[in-house]
Amino acid sequence: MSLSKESRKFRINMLVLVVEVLLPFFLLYALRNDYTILGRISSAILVLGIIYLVVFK
Amino acid sequence: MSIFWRDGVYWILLNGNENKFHVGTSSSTPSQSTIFGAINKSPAKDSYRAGGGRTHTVSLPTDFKSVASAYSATAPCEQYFTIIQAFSWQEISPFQVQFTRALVQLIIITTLISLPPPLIPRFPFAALTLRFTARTGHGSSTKRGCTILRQATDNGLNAGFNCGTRPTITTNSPVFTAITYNKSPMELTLGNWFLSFLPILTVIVLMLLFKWGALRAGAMSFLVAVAVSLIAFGGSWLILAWSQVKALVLAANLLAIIWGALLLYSLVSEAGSIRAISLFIPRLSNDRSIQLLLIAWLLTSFLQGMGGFGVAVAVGAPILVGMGFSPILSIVMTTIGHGWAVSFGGMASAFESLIAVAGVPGILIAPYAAILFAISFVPTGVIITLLGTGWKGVRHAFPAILAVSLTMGATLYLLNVNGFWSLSTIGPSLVGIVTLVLLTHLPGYQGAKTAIVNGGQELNPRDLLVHLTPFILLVGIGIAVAMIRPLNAFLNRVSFSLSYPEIVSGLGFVTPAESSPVLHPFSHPGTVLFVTVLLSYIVLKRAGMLNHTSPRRILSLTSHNSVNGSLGIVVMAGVSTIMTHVGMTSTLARGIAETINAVIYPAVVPFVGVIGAFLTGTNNNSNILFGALQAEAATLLKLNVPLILAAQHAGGSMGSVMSPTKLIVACITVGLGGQEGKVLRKLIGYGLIPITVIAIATGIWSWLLSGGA
Repeated sequence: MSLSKESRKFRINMLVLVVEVLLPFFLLYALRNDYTILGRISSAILVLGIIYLVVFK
Repeated sequence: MSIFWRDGVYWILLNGNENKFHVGTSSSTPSQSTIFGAINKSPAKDSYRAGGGRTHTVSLPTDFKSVASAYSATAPCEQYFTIIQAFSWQEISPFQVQFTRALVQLIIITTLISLPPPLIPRFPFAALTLRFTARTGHGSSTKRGCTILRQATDNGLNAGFNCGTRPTITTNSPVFTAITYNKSPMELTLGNWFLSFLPILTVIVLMLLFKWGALRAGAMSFLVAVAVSLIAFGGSWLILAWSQVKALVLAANLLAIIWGALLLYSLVSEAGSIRAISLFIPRLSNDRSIQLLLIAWLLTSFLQGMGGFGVAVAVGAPILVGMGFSPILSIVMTTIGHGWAVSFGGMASAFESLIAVAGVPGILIAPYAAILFAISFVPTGVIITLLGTGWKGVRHAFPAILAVSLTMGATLYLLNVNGFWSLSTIGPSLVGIVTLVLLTHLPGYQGAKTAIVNGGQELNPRDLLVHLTPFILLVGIGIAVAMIRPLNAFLNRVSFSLSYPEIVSGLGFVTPAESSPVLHPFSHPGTVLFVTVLLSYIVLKRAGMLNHTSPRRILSLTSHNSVNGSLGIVVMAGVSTIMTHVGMTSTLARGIAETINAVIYPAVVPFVGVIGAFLTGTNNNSNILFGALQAEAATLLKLNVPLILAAQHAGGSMGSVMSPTKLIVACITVGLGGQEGKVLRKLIGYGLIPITVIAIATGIWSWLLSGGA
């Protein structure tokens, strides 16, 4: 069954929220262990999530 | 401070009364490499010698830029150096020029002369390596006090700093350019201030001119803050990362409360409790003015305290319409009536966010907030009665308004000074309702019989008690967790806290090492809410007010109502922390402090809170956006910081109810969808009256606290 537009939007927003809340844990792990690449990737994903909110809201 | 080269190593020489220095990279965690020490300058000319003590070396990541700074022992003076690159002047033969590889080891000789020995073990020691890339060319010098390091000779040390001059090269060793900064690396210029203001301006422009939603405008503001911090304020991915970790901790604390409050609201809404209570309240009195105060002021405040999120107006306004008031007036009266209640509603989540961003204990702010809101109670009651029943009604109801204001104000103050601000909306509202109900027994307030058009539903005492159970449980559990010390101690045995390192921006703005607020998960207001929800569900299910499909509807309603709001909080927290860590908030505060004098500023603070809440839609976000700024500006102006924060909180609370997002919900419930502009025009004039009263009170109070200066 295809999802309605609102339902799809809600699920994506929920996914973005989950990512934005969980990502800083990866960031913290990367920062504490000097995993530079993991930290940069996590930061980039975080910013991409925010960009999504601007472009698609 | 001087930096010079000798025998293959770099020395840091402290001058005069400087007694410590720090070397770190701009993109690492300097706490791993922080060294404090001192070297006394020998009186002999061109002869510098260590004054004894130990030699320490510290390792740094192989990063290109390094920041060294010296601190004065006596004067509040600091100098910062950024060692950006080593290069050779044109006089040096090319083959000695190192272009790309690391050059030297820096061994820092510290002599802890002025520091007592017990301080030494605090600082970690490891091999320090600063890698520099040499190239030909001139060093660039910027800002004031440009400094060029002169080359040390083989026989002696030749160190000195001249502004704007090129050094005389005596050897073939590389030369470094060091750039000095003043104590505050970011000069306060109009350009810097405007750049600091840009994220806030983004929200204002996008929401007012382009009619963007709060979440989308907040997300854009986040991107602007990141861009400005990277381009103009020395930000880096490390600073972005650490600030987002801190933002999450801040947001998580609030999200737990908000999700719990929304869950409770969804539960009582599904059980029909809100409707039942709303129909019961007007039947407590037949006096029209008293009914108006009960519904537009006290019921809405109580509902706001329970959960907020627009339910106060969504429930109160239709009841007033049913009583014969016009839809616009109904929205205006209920909106103004519950403005104060936003401050501590939803388990005081907005107040908790203010505490978190400003870093000031809530117990210092809460009493001031209580008094400011108590001052606004009388104007609020008068406005509601004036709009509903005219001046005749005001004269009739004024004693009741005064009595309710006194009892509510006293309750609010007592709860706040004892740290129970999570109950500071429900408590005073209930006390206000009881006070007004008691007053209805007085001859003057019994009134003629009036019919409640949309009411008339009989509610037996047992059903009423069941419907009130969630709120009774919430108050009971909240008080038990807070007041029963053995229980509180037992629940607080589990705690979490994160430690954050010192963060230094590329321009040298330092955020000291700190720890996050200690989180006690089992006594957290969010946990209290979740426990209340579980117990209430059991009671309501057994009473037959919920069926087997209710849980799914409750969870669905909760998630749909909370996702956008949660994202908004996460985003705004991110904006606030980035701005704070690169010095943008500090620059903003300094600009305000140097522009607005200390006498006028306190009176302006509530309006700043109003603007923040109006734009972002919530008191929460206004506090997150402006809380740190207000605290810093108040500190710079030598004002009472808790009072200023309380005024920010009060303005945010009253401004949030007038925000476009809240108005949309309100207008829909009374059939005025699309006419928000009309409502706002009627609302804004009356809505600003209590805020103005608070602003005047803040100004006078601040002036008195400063001794009338």
